[in-house]
Amino acid sequence: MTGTRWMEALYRPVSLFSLRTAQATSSGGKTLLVPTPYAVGMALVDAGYRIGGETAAKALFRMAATQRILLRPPEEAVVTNTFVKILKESRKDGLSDAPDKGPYGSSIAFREFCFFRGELRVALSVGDLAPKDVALLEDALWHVQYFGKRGSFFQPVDVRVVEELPEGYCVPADELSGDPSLFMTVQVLDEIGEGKNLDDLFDRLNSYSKSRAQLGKHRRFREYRLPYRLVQSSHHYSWYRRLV
Amino acid sequence: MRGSSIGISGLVTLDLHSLNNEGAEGNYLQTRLVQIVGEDQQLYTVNAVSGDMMKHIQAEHLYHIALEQELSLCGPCKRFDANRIVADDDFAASFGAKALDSEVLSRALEWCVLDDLEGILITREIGGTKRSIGRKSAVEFGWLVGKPDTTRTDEYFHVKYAPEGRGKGSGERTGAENTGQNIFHRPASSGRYAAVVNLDLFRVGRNDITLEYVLPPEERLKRQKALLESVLYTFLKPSGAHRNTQNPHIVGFEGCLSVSTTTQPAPLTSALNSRFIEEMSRIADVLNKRRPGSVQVIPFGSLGEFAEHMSELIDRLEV
Repeated sequence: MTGTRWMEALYRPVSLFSLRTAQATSSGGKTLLVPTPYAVGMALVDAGYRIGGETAAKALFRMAATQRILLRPPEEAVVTNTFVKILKESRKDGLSDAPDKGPYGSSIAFREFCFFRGELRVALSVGDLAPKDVALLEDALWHVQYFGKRGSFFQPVDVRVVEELPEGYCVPADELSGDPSLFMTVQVLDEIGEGKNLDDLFDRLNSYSKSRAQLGKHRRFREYRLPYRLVQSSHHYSWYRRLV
Repeated sequence: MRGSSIGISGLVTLDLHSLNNEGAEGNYLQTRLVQIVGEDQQLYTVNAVSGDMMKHIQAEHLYHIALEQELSLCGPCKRFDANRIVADDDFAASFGAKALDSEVLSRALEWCVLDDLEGILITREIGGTKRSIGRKSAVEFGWLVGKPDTTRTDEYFHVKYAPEGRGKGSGERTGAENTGQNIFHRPASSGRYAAVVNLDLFRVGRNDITLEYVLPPEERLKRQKALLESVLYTFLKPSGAHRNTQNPHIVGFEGCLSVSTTTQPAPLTSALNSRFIEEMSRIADVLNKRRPGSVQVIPFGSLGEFAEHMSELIDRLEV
């Protein structure tokens, strides 16, 4: 990837990763093999709140919504399929069906957890950003602790500005120009979409605001080609290796 | 010392435990297993305890500490009901119409230490409005994952002995009481497990919507100390499954604590990496170059040493 400057952050996985695909239900939680541009954006907003409150969070959201975000998965990923116990909200209205039990009932659900070997890289285009924004972005990338489900810890080990990215970054399917056989795995990742303006979009994606986000508009989905090849699998696991 | 966040990475040695099981097929109880790639790049299937299980253990310890120290608890949390404040009718009735979500969240934090520290999703009608207000937990556990070279799971054979009529199977008389003689196969796992925990002390008593602290400093300090104490007890007494006959032998705990006094999160490394303590120190050096004096790494070589360091942190804590 050339033609622009990039800020590239290297993260070392600390625990098992899980991030349900947008199509998954709460009972059948298949995981993605890589965080999504949207998840990276939300992690930056979270870091912004930690660094400098809403001002920093909104500045980082603006960058996440307008700059390109690319991800390079670790060398290997092993997905474990498992069942876990969960608390599930009752489908019946309020507490009327079991006032003594509360709204949540115990249930089980399918979940996948991904073990990574190697480093995850996250890159954002910074060619047209002001120096103070670049500095804020660098600080925020150092503040990110996890992507996806809580407890999916990643430790930042390096953040740097580079002119060129190495091979092996996931590519949107409609932009694939290299050897398609090196990008054998296809997953639908979400990205920050568009609103009337960035303030409106921020408000819609804010969990605590009354404005509603529309899937496909404010949060959109895009098919990505991942540089992973399935090496081995059984009913219990799937083992992937990066080809580039 | 004003702690903003604390990280714990370590290898805990647990022997003959069955803390986390995935389910049963017939009379075989199946322990939880995950697949990982070792440092030698080979695939291994290892025993693991989920972060959910670890957090449940920690929450139970926190509950007992809260009762002992008379920290504020909502009605359901006094019964250790997982629904927490969502099932508290008095709480829901304490709001008038048009109450803001931020007001509901502030009051939830004031009412209950468990909802504050462990998190909750408030999903019910309050003040005539259906709500969905999230409160993120201040403590996060990663999976407890066995190191491939030192973790093994065996099964042992267990019989529920019936002295009379041993020829008959499990369903006696009507077939429903399960009173006959039964056999079971149960797992027992032993090994060294990589543990990882993150504590966001700065979020204790802080409203996620307004980003303001809703509790007085002395109350926040009490809760922060209770949180640290509960995490210490999680490793001293992991109260998971099958402890009536398989209370784990906790042989050791070695690793390091990382303490951050700034917004920079305390670093974490996976103890599946054989050089994880060295890695943690190197990362801390990098972070301290960026923000001098922000991160401290404290290695420990035993469970006793871990307890000493945690106790010292609890004593030195300020807000």
